Amino acid sequence: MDKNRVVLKVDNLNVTYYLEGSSVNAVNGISFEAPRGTCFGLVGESGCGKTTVVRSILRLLPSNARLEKGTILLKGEDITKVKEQRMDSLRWAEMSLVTQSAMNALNPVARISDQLIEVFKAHGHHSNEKVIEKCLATFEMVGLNRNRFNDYPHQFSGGMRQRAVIAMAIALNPSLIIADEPTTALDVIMQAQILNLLSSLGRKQNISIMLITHNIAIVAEICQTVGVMYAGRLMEYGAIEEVFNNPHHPYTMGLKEAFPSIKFLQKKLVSIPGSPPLLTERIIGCPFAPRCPFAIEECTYALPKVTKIKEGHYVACHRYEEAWKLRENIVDAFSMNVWSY
Amino acid sequence: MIEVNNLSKSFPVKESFFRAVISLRFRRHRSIRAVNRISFSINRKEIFGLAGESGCGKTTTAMLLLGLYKPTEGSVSYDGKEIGSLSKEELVKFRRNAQLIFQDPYESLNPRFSVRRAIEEPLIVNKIGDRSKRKEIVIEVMKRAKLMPVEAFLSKFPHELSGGERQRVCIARAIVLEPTLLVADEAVSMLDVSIRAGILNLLKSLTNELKMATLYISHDLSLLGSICEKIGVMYAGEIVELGSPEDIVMRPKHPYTQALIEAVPVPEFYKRGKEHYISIIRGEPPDLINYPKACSFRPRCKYSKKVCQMDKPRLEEIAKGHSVACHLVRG
Repeated sequence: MDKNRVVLKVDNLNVTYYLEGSSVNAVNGISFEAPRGTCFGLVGESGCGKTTVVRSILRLLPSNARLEKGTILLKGEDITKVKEQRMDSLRWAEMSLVTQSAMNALNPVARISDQLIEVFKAHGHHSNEKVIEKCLATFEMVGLNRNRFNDYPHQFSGGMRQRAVIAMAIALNPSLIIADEPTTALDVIMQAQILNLLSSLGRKQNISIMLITHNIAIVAEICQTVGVMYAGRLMEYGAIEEVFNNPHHPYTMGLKEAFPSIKFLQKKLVSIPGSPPLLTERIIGCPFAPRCPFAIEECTYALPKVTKIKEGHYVACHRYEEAWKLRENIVDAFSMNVWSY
Repeated sequence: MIEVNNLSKSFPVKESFFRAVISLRFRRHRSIRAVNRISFSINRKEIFGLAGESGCGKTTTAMLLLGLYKPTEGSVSYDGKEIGSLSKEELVKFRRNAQLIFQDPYESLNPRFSVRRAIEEPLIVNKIGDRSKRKEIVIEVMKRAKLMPVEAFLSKFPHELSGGERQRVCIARAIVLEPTLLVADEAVSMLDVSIRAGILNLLKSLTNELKMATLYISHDLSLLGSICEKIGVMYAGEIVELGSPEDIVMRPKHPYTQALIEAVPVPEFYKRGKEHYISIIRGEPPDLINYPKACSFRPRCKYSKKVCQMDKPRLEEIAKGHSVACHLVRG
């Protein structure tokens, strides 16, 4: 593996939560990579294990979770095996996190300036003029006004808070930014501004961005590669144009059709019936089979293997060979729930 | 059915005594103009969509429509009667007919009420029927809200339900009194994408079946475009454009509406250059305390001209059913 090209490489990741008397297989054999300077999108519904993937990369899993198998390579270094001390020096310096709710990510009783300087202090820099100048430069890079540097979080609007969190995330020039639902709490205009900021930072600073979201439209706007997760497994993975123009998994097709498009008001919206499976129970066969309109008998007892369709495009579905046929019928297949304008 | 006429609402800003002493400003009361002279109407069997950024006054408008705030100026009339002038008994009746669905189905259900009790509660409050009659009504409504099989859901508690099922319970609870006005404030934004269409579908068919006038509030024009009969776009407390979904989404005239539409991500892959940007407007909405005198969108507008600094544009009809408040657009 070229360690200069690929910043993050996750291979066969398995995470289990142990509860009283039962266990939850939250992440099951996930593999992906995030090349330098590009944006990788991980899409899925709530409870599909997206956040668990993030937490295992940052090693912030709760105490009842165990990383069973798999490797996480950050610039070639397997961070599942390194000591906690090394982890501390990697967080923020090499990889940083932008969370969903910026208000909860900021300390409400500390000034933004102090919180930004804190990032430097935690990594051995001393608070001096050089550091402050660097903070101010970062502040401006994310589109905030220098004069607001000493404000408290409550004086900022939602969008500005998210910018402040992004400023902290890029302060130490990391190679990887993990953005976990960074725009869910924002309205469309703020969302567009934040997404532009993230993707331009990614390009200019040569940072890889891993974007976690449930919104497939956001992924279509800024990502280069995408992974579609369902019930702890990757259903489809590949380059954005491949996955969007040539989806091979019925779940991907359904997700695409479930979104209203501003360009085609007459588009029929589908709703995927049912809800994701409970991960506390052992799933036999394809986890999507109960909701899949194309499920055949094989799907109920055999887990589909991850198959390579093309260079860099993988899918886990028994009927991938007939994908073109399924694509034509996708709207009608979900017809019980078809929504027509 | 619902007629909103020149409606305004401002909230007083309280200043601390200490500050008032320092600045010697005891008399000057400042206020936030949350809603500023808006007019629109919603007919029965119709979904009216209200779009705009956070803080533009969408929710205040909803509260005014439900009679939960008193308007500072203007009026809301319901079947020809002004809500402000209703007597106490009439107001009680009006409240029965006007219901609300909240954004977050995780917080708007009492965790200690079973599904049956949650849906029954409005009937109990309004003293309708006896126990067995009420159960009949609850089952009927649950079927309407597609909470099937009914028996399985009746005795469940909110924590046993998924987000979509909870929102269906909220909808069932809202329609159990057979309201004629339904307000849905971002009713699907907390739900997973794969079930959103189902909830929207339900709202649309219920609006038709129960002959309700529905107000749907959202910042997502693509969603409003696919369910509404009419859309109003709000900016800083004013309606800047009003029209059918085709008018608003396909032929937007106001620069703000155009910006809103451009900001919506599209779930399609299309060829893009290396420097792909979602085109956006910069900045943030104006401070509603120090309200701009002229066009409120001018500071962010890329087409702004001299006239925009002088006069406030009025909402003018440029085509049938399509009105715009912008100096630069003339029918």
